[in-house]
Amino acid sequence: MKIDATVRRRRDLMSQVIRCYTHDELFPGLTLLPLKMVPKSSSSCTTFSEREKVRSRILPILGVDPDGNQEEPEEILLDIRRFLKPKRNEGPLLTISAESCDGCPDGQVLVTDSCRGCEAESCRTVCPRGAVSIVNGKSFIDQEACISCGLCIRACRFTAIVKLEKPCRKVCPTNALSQDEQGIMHIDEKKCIACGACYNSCPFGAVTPVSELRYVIDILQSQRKVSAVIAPSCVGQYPGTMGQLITALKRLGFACVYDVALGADMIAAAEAEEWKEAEEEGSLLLSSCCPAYQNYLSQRLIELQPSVSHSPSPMVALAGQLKERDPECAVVFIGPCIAKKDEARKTDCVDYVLTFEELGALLVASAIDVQELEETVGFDMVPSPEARGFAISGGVLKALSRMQKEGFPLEHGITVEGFSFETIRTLKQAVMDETSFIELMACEGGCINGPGISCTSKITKRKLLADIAQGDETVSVGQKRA
Amino acid sequence: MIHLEICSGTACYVMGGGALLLLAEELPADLAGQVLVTGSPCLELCRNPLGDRKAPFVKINGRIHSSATVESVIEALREARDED
Ligand code: FES
Repeated sequence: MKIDATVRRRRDLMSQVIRCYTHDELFPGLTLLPLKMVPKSSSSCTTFSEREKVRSRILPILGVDPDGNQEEPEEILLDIRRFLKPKRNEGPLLTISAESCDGCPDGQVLVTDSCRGCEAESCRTVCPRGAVSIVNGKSFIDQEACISCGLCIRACRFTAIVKLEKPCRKVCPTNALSQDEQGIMHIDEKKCIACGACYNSCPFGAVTPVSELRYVIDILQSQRKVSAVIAPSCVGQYPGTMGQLITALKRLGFACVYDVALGADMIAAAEAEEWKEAEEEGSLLLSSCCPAYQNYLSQRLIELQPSVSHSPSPMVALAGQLKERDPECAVVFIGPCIAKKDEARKTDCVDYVLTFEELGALLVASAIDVQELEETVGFDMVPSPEARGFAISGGVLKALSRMQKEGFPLEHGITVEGFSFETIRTLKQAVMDETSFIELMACEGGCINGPGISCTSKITKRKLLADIAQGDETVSVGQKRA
Repeated sequence: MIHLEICSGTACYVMGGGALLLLAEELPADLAGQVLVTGSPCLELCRNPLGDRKAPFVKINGRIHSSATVESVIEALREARDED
């Protein structure tokens, strides 16, 4: 993920909205934000529509689904308190701001200026519909006749023909996005697997998750004890050290901070055992930790669902134990994932979910500078190094492999990332061939590359691998691994 | 030697300053070996979030650059080199 101007703008807005909320300046604070962020320009029409975009994007940051209300964003902001629901939104996880959506073209095949009008005319000859003709010495595609098959694109030796695609639709693995008559996109909640791919794809910043930040701020200010369970991929997502990040979370009001890798430690042995059984039976086991992939299976590959491991995800395993110990405490998961918001709704052990990006905005809004803080010495409990490796694609497989006896056919375990045509084929084939375990990761590269990260995964991967290697050493020098 | 200071205060870091820290190893050949890259505590430029200049901030030989990206910083580094 690249932190481009769109990403910077949305983070800036997020932290300013949160600042208004924590400082109890919703009104008139929120109504002034769009005016300050979009200074008057020469064209009052653009100024108006640019401000309207900002307004529509303020709402989901406060957990308000703009589509769930009849009123215009401006009206809502004037009376925002009335729209802030006391309970977490059960509506969509991601929304598209109709004001911001460009309604960009989709599916059209066009000849660009690079066309040389060559003698071969391969585009024209290859077209099965006769849609390509030569007009004024250059190729021309009749849009009525064109079926967007793309044959001419491949035939052109100047790459002069392009297919226009909506970036959001292109990345959506389940075709959950559709357009209305104006070309404005909408997300079909029933088809959405919450993978979050569209979030970072839109260069207009129109896609926004409906955030739970506000609820988290509320419980942090309440009397309730709140525990943070943070994903191991947090390494390198903020400045400073792990110990300083823990201090920062305590400053925000979290009573305890746990590494989700502890949950991975809780389930790894059982999942390794399941793999062993699958291998013996000649069946297949699929990992259960990626919620976006679980959603995908339940929609598109129902036949594979019985193969999913019975182990809960590390988040649920750990949160469940925390709730068991103290049923009164609230648990907030903080990670790189949007689909975890969906998973959390389906269990009762995780109260809220924040992304790393949202936590970043909260830290900035609270004027907490992580690298200036003193260190809290480590987590309350320390997970094993390989459990932290779950965050990097291949890590689950590695951890489970280590638990198998000598001579176990480890090559029967594989990792599958993303939802490309090839990955899905691999999955379907795995049922038939010798594969006995598949680690499923919706995000390429694993959780470290999730849609809700705050800093590049490159830094996280490097630091995490270094940490794991170091941890491995201390474990092998010290006591034996559990 | 050109001095590139990358603000690693939280505001700058999450606005893309974190990724800028990789610049030390990703410098193009014509700049490699000529730039001293250091992190810096909050430069206190983030305190005015509604100002024109936005995080992430970097300093190149003491001169402040805002909304810094890998590309814009490389560009500014070349300028600083050519000024010398
Ligand atoms: S964080 Fe960079 S100026 Fe404050």
